[in-house]
Amino acid sequence: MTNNLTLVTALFDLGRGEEDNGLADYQRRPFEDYLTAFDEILKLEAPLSIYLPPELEAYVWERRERTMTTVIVHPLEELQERFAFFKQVQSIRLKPEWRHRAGWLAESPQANLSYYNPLVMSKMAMLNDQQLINPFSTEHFLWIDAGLSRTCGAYLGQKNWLERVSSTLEKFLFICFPYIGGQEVHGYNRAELARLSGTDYIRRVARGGLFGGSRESISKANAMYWRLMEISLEKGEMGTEESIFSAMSYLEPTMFDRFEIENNGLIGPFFEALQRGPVPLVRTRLVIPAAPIRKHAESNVKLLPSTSTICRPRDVDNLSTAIYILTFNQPQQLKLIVQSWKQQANFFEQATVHVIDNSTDIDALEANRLFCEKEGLKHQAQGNLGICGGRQLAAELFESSVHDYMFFLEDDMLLATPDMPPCKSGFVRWIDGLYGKLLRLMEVEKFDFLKLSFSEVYGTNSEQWSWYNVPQELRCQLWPEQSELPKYGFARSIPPVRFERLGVFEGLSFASGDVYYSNWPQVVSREGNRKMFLNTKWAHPHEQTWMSHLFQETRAGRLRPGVLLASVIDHRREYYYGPNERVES
Amino acid sequence: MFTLVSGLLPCLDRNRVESDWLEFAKLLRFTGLPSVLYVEPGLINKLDIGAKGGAGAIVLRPLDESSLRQGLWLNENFQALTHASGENPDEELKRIVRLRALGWLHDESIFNPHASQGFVWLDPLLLDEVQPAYLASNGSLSLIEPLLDPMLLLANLDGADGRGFSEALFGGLSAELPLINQAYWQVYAHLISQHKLPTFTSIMSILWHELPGSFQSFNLQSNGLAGSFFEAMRAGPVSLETLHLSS
Repeated sequence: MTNNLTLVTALFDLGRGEEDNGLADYQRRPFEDYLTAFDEILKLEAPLSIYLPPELEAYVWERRERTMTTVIVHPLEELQERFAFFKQVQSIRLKPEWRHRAGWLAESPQANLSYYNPLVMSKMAMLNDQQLINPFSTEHFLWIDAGLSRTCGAYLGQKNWLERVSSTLEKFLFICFPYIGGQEVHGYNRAELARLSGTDYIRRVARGGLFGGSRESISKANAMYWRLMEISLEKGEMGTEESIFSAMSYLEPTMFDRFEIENNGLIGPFFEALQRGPVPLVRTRLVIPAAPIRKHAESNVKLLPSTSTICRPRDVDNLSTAIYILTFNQPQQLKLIVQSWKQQANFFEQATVHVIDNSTDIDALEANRLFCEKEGLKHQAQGNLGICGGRQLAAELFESSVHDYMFFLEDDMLLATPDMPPCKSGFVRWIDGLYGKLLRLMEVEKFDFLKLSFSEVYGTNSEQWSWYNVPQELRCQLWPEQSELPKYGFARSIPPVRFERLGVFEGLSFASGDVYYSNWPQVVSREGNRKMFLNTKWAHPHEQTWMSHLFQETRAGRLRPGVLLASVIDHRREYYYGPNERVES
Repeated sequence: MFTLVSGLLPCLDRNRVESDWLEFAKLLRFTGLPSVLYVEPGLINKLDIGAKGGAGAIVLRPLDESSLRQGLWLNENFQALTHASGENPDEELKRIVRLRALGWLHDESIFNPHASQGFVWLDPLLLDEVQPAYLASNGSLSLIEPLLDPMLLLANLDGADGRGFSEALFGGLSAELPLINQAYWQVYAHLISQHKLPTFTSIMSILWHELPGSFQSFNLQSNGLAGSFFEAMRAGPVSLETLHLSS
């Protein structure tokens, strides 16, 4: 049985074996050859989705268990409707100027078989359809040509490759071979393909026999594929599905991992690598060039080395996280926050969740303990430490753990729901795949802490709330034109936050700069945790003290905070405790 | 902060006159970046190296051609191979400079006269292929630091041997250099033992696969010139490839 993987394939008789089909002799082969090769695919012990004509359905059921197999049956001719560009493909393939782009092209399947390109160009759609339907509830999908065993037969029977291949499908995987020289790529004008790909020269071609990825990556790749297909055919340009795949690998290189094979194009080495163990994949990332931090920077405080240059991003799968939830006297509120955060995958599945229980009510303590036991959460009850005392305990528990990142939540910091309107700052309340995106963003940006909500109850992160809390001397120095606090209450306006950079990462917008600390939900790195709560400890910590101290650390270049340009937190308390019971520290 | 490491080594281009080398040193000073130069001793007294600790300060390491040769590990075996291949003495010296450049980066990460985290080798002949403006103060070169982890290489993918690496510019962090340097010289010795003449490119092509995740490469355009890299840094973000092991 495979590791969370569905295979997708298709087999139709395109007439490749017929006489007088215009193919070169070496291109002609009887359908029986494909059926023999197909048998090897049918033997694979993995969930398999098969597109095939009615006449082959019984053939499949004679060889496959129904629990592991789904078939999508339609006659070949139905591709005329299923494949939206059928007419355009026919028009291009019959044009003499296209057929004569290379000596071999006029004798190729894409030039002579009316259903060849409509079928091979539909592979991406079939893969995407299956990830949408997801008949076997898997996370990864791999397209495998029905005839693949013609070139990789022995490899398909090897042990373990099906178990291991999922590890290569974290992103979208293309297997690529060097393709230097010539004026076209499978019929697509080489210069035009380079232009489409945003590169100076097409050096590689991505194979169409085996490709796939995670559900999310397939969805993105599919959208990109059809956009490029439409642009190409519109311009009268056509190769095969591999031409478009190649363009995709250039156009958005960070979306695709590549396994590099030799220029003979044979993908056997990929299977060999799977046998050996971890597979070396070429992965692309984007790095923003920046001037070095100079010794004579404006601050007179010694700057930390740039953490962004010390560590490289780790895979989310390799990261360990902890969530610390602070709760007090209201077990129903604890249940509410747990239920709320379970809306997003991975937070509760991946993290070790600690409940720091400040409850003073014995019944509440017992109810919380039982709830934690039932949910598999770690119950920590050390008396009423107050809000900031609880925050400090979270920092110390995290420090003594092996986790890479921590989330801190008070029990009224629920996760917003997808249907909520934008926050008062106009930002979205819901982000798909939040957990992975947050961790990857922390890895890439090397934030010490990242706040999860731009809008808060009293203010927003556009205003510098540290202004209220820093020492007067510093206020005068930093904001000479607004150095006086109001005698009572809040000022009419407070200075804006100085943002250093706005960025977008996997569709997640964020800002970095002098982001102030508050006890609102945040993800914190190990290094950040030490800098924020352990290098300097306060006898009676208060949110305002931390805010002031950490603002100064940020200004000194020793702390790197960030904030989402989103407000995924829904501050909601439905079960109240008495106001006199609240303790700060 | 990073340190530029380069050389004023006439063996690299006998057509250059003394003033050309001095001009190159001046240009390095004008980068405003701390530098270390391996210098033919005859040039040392003619150089303006700037105030110690100031912007663009240069540390000099005298290196004559004899020391250049003798300092190469297994130099006798190496020279036997170059002689057997019919390589002339200047070509051999050029090859030695390019082979030793990574070792010099590693050495400088230990001496670390400018207290840097990153170290970048800039081939003295780089200006044959890129505009000096790229090296100027606040030019593209000054933006390179975030690209040094893992070690940065410039790759040429059009060669017959697949991914080749340019000797013109590369660099990495002091924390990474010891491991890479050790592996580099192991491969060097292995190639020598196989009677193969090593080059920076041939060694790095092996290490790319042997030490996955230790390097990232910027893919140069078909002409193989480093100009596209400097342009990419100016335009940012820069697309870098690394070998990632599936887990």
